Amino acid sequence: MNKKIRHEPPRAVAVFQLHLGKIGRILRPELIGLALILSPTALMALGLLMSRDAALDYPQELNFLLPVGAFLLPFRLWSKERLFDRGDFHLMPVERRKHILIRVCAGAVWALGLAAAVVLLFNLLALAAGSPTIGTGVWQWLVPLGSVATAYLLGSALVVALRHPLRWSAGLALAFVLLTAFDLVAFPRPMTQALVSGDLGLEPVLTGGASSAAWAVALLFWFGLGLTALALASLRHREA
Amino acid sequence: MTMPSSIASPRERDPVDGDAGLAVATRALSKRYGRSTALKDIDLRVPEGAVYMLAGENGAGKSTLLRLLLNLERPTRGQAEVTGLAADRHGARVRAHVGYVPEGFDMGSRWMTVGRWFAERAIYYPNWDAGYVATLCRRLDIDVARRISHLSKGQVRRTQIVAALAHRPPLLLLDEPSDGLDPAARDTVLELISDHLSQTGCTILASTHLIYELDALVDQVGVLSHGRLTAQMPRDGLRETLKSYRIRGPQGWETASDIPGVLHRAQFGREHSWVVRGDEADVVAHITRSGGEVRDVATLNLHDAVVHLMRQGAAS
Repeated sequence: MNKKIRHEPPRAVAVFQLHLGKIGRILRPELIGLALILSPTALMALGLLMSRDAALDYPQELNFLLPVGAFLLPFRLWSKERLFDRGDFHLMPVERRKHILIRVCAGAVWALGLAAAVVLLFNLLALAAGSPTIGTGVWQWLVPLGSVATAYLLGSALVVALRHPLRWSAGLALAFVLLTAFDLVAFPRPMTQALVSGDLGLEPVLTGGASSAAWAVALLFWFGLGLTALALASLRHREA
Repeated sequence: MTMPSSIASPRERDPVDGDAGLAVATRALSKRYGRSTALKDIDLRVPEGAVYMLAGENGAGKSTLLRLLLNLERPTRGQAEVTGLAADRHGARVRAHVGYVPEGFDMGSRWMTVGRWFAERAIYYPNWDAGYVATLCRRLDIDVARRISHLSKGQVRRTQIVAALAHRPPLLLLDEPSDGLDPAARDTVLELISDHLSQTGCTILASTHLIYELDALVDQVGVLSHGRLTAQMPRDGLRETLKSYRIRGPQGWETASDIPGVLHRAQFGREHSWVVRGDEADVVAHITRSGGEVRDVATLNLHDAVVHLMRQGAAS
């Protein structure tokens, strides 16, 4: 008789593992695309290395491209889940807020894993060519991972908080560009400067800044901001 | 000491009194969307082991009520207790106890195969019985290798029904379970539900506006109309209290307006046909006193009885 059966929600670890696999399947087209782009790049680089006339510096542009990708990743991961409707995701026997955070964590593993793989690949090529790598300090190797984690958190917070995050993001970006281009609104210069290149600005998070301490402080600030935003956004989905 | 999950500890129980032996109990459960009222003061009582049919016209609030029971939406007011658990505080545990067939046909990721979808479900429901699923799939002719995006409406519904039964839950919440099914599949599904019922002794709360479909299973009936629970009783009680009266009245006989509980009146010459809700002896006495002669009293089948109750609810 079913009354003797224990009917309990699943363990969080099992749900996490499920989402880890599911996200891998969702990202299959992107992973294939990435492999198609990176494989010829790596092969070409190896060819150049063989001819011994290569200078394969670690491309610093990656420190900007990877966070941008990480910011957009949650939009892709949640696009079919109908977080604000009566979708299948909501029917599962896991507290909704917890369920969302589990999935965000699984996505973070993918974001960091992919970023680490790309950074490692380009640094290995640079090492093989005897060219400058991302840096000599361990912390410099962590800079792209820190910025990826922060960008992913901020993107996730947006997606979890808003019913139409893409529209909001695109709308805000467009409004900012138009207002700036036509000089309709003058954003206070000190504010934008602080936001971009100040001690707690985005620049030190993305590039590493002047020192490990400056990077750590800026990263802590933005990472904390991302975590707080995500925690607040997830409150929209709490059950009790 | 750990408690069986189907019995909630006193701390988890909702303070709804006198609910022992009920699989679902709500008190004054209400839901508003802006200025429109979807549900008002619902006191649902579903006994354990019962097959409860929640009937009502389209838009009566049946689906909303089921979603509130699963804590998929929050009530504006009132309380709901499902399998002994307060739905608002233990939503996840409630959903673990319930096999739910939703109103819609969304199965989430459309790129998945049915087999993969089941495999995911198996992780969410630790008691998932893969062997049972295979049996159900054979009986319902479900191809697990097929992609969800390639399923017809009927195939989606069959898949949803298998998923609802697979972890052998103590409570099934079925929202229009036969919607989208062809007649043959509909019969098979009803057979499966019947078998499941006899094997597990579970409770079923099914919403439908196709009353005849559940005729063979139902032992409790509730009627929702415009967001209100206008009737709720055991099937036997319905048979006892709702009857059709064939009356012969004298020429020009005015039907007595003081007789309470008349749900339907029809007249063919001097022959009158009424459907009345109430004690038969009282109704006959009333009619006789007013000059009519009761020629025949007949019990109504479930379909007719519920339709009359729905009409009454709609009229009130």
